[in-house]
Amino acid sequence: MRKKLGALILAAVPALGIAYFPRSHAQDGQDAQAAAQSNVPHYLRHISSPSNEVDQIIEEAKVLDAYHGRFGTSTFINGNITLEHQIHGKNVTFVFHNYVQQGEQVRYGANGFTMLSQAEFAAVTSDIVTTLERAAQEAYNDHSNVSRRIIEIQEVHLKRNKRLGENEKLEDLLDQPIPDYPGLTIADGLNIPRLTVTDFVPTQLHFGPLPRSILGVTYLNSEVVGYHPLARQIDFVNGGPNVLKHELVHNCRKLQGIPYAFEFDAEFHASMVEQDNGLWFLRHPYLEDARSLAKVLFRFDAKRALENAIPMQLMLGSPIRRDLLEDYVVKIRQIRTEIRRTYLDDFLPEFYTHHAFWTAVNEDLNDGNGAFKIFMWSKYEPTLLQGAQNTSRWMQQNRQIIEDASRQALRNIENEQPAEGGIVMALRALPKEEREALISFASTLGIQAQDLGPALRVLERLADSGALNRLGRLR
Amino acid sequence: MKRFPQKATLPALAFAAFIGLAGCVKKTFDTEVKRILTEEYSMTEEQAMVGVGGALRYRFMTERDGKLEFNYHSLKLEDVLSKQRDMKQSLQDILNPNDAETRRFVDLFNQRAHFEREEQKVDYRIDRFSLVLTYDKFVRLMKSQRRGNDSVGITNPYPQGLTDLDIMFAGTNLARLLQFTAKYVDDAKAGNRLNQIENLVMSVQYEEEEPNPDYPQVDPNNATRWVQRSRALRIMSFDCDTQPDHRADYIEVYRIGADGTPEANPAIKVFKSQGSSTLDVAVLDRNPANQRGHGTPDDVESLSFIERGSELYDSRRDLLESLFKTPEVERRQLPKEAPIEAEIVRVGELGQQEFQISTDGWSCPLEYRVGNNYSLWVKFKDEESHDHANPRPREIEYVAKRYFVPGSSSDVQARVVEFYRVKPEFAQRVRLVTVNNETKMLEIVREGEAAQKGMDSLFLERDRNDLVTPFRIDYDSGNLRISLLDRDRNPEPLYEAKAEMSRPHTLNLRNDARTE
Ligand SMILES: [Zn+2]
Repeated sequence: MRKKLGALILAAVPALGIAYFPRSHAQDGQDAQAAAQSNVPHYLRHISSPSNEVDQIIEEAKVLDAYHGRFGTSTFINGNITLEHQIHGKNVTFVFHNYVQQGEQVRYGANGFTMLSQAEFAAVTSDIVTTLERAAQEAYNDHSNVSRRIIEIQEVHLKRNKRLGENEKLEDLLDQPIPDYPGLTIADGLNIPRLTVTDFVPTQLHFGPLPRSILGVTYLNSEVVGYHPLARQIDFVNGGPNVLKHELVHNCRKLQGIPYAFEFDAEFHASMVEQDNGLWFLRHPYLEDARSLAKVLFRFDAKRALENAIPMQLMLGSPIRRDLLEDYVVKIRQIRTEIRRTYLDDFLPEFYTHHAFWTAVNEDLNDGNGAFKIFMWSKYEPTLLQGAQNTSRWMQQNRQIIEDASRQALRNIENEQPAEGGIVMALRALPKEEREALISFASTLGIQAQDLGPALRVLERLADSGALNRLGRLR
Repeated sequence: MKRFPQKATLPALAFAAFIGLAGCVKKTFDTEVKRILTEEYSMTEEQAMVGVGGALRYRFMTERDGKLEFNYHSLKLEDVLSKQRDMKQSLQDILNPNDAETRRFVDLFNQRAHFEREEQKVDYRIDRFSLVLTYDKFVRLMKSQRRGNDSVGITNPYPQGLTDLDIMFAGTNLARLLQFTAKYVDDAKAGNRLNQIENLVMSVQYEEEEPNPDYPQVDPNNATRWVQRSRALRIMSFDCDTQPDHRADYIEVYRIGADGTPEANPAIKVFKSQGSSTLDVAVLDRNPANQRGHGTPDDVESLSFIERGSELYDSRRDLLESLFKTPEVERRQLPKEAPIEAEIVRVGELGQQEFQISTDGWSCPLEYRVGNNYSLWVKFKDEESHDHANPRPREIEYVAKRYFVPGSSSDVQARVVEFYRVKPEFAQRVRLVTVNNETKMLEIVREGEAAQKGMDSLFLERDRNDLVTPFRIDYDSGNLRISLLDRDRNPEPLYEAKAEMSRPHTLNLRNDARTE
């Protein structure tokens, strides 16, 4: 999983960046020494962390400008300085990419070579270690009520349905084994993520460059996280390790392990722990559903807000309407808090309480965020049509039409999905022999019309993996 | 703004990302409702957005006391189960031992055990949901009910008011809640009226091809291997009527173990549905006694025209044979890794290596002799030059017995051929050999001597125990043809050498004898 910069940033003209890029490392001598003394790691020198959110937006852009063209990748993991350190009681291997010990000094090779003193490098390690410590703690804090809430809600449900006696406590049963399923407990059967802070701590943290516009990356289930120096700078500007926290949510395999990460919008979830400046909300692709919900439920139109705040994209840089943006960021903060609290405090417990149901709902709606959208609609009244009263009245008046459209939409996604990109196309894309083999395979299984749903999905998966192999080679 | 690649750089996860980039915008319920409302009902974009929310509310929530509650029966049980199967598929994909790339990913970060445990959890849930769904189908079939097709917006209550959470909760005793039985059978059992009217055993022996775990790292020649199997079933039919009419009302089928004892629980139970005159509802348990899930039905099928157990054997052999199919999960085997080596051999350095040698000897695992079910084939030794006009006396190289299926002309399944040497006093300077395949008599005419006639055993070489034994046995095994060879005949009649070659389509066996 990776976090990307918005498209705007990538599209900007790289030549400009290069024009004033070399400056950052050309400065040495007194500057470096002064910085080392004040314990600031070399990549944070000269960067400010403003408290005003619009100033954050502007400073973040300056940092990005200074980085144009600098996305690359380390060739080998080997040969970098590594460090073992305990984070919240868990052993973590830190790999400092392109930092190499050379005699008394450390050679840093991001763009040409720079020599750092031991003290300067110590500032680097201490910064990364404390940043990870803080990010893990904050990511966990955001989820610290989830397990308890799930158990509470499940207990109420199971008691109401008489599956659990009035005096029984679900909590006490969770570690009991399930007969016939060696190694599985009742908690496993219920799929309750019982979280601790260490679940968010990776076993390897790679501090180093990443390709294209990727700021952070997590290999699902592997507890291996990559964190770009540029992401560290952006996090510094915005006053908190947002990018790293995002990755640590991916890192938590109880929440986002395989196969669960495929069954909901894992990026949306990971983005919920971020508290970066308002511009991210206005344009980051992972937050598109948040913008939609904000519009229909909270009447905040992010698209128009962005157009108003940055009216033109000019090649020489875009003007910000500061007065407007100052107003928007306040509203955005309010909206984001509302959405993130609902997601983390209320939605996640509900999602895991009825995990089998909600993951099937996402499938049914062909939408990884379907369950969350439903949840938001169960908590908030829409306001988009001139306020809550009017909107509610309009909904009632149009109920019949809406239900008709709903039925039709369901048929369409059921029927047309195969024709458009699903199984039929996937089957067609297969070589003749494979295709025939699949079809005859299905018939030997005695698959009947009413069972075709699951069969199609199986075929789709098979077809997917073939397509994956073909596409994989292109990369 | 369109969605961007979201999932992962790990190749196994990157696919969704590519679809997002390459394909058109994904059609979701959300986008589709919005499209219909704007295009077909001329609503504004804003109205359509509110419409989507309304659609979600009407489909997935019910209102109670002014509050909205989720309706956990708003999806079909089939769809919930199918999602669990999707997850299983994801895990199978990543644990697929034959996908080298995922195998390297899984092993690089040492995650195999973790994924296997995740798979167990999903298996547990699949078992639970399947059982409820199977029961649902059973109840419908027993009442001769079919499910309607239009389920949109309709709730689909699950049996016994179960929700997904109740089903996942191991404390819910599904086996007790969901009884796969019929009242008339229970009553007959209770009243001691379960009268057995038929009881038969069917058995099969066969060779089955299965994936070779050594392929391709250790043994790159055989992707599959052949395994001998033998299975048996007991089929019992019962009359349950108060006034016995000697017609079957209920059937039970049991797997019989290797030791001959039937399993404790029936693998198939067949009932009569309400008002049916034939046995039309079959409940299947595909897990054998030593496997988890034995005793819990896996499948329900409707049958037609079955009036007693033996008819299952006649017309639904497929159903019976399906009881022998081992569920796939049990067969996942990691390929064995051979060390990476460098082996350089120049032409001319390679010695003779036709045979595999075993000091304990090789043996042929087949039973193919049923009395004298063989034909005789005699071969003379080849000569450097052979003058057809003036043939010289010859030496007999061997006498072969080629085994056939009794009462037919076709070879036994493994096409077994035994090769015998002829006693030295009969083998040399032979002019003519005549064989009689009816009587198994041989007649040998040697240069300047009277013809000698007798049973084949009279002429064939004996081992040191004075038994007539072949010095070579050839037979098919899977896709190979095996030759077992006793090259020294001494001191023991032991087949110390084995040669393997690809199984030929036809057997080329020469006969230099005249046939009577
Ligand atoms: Zn991400």
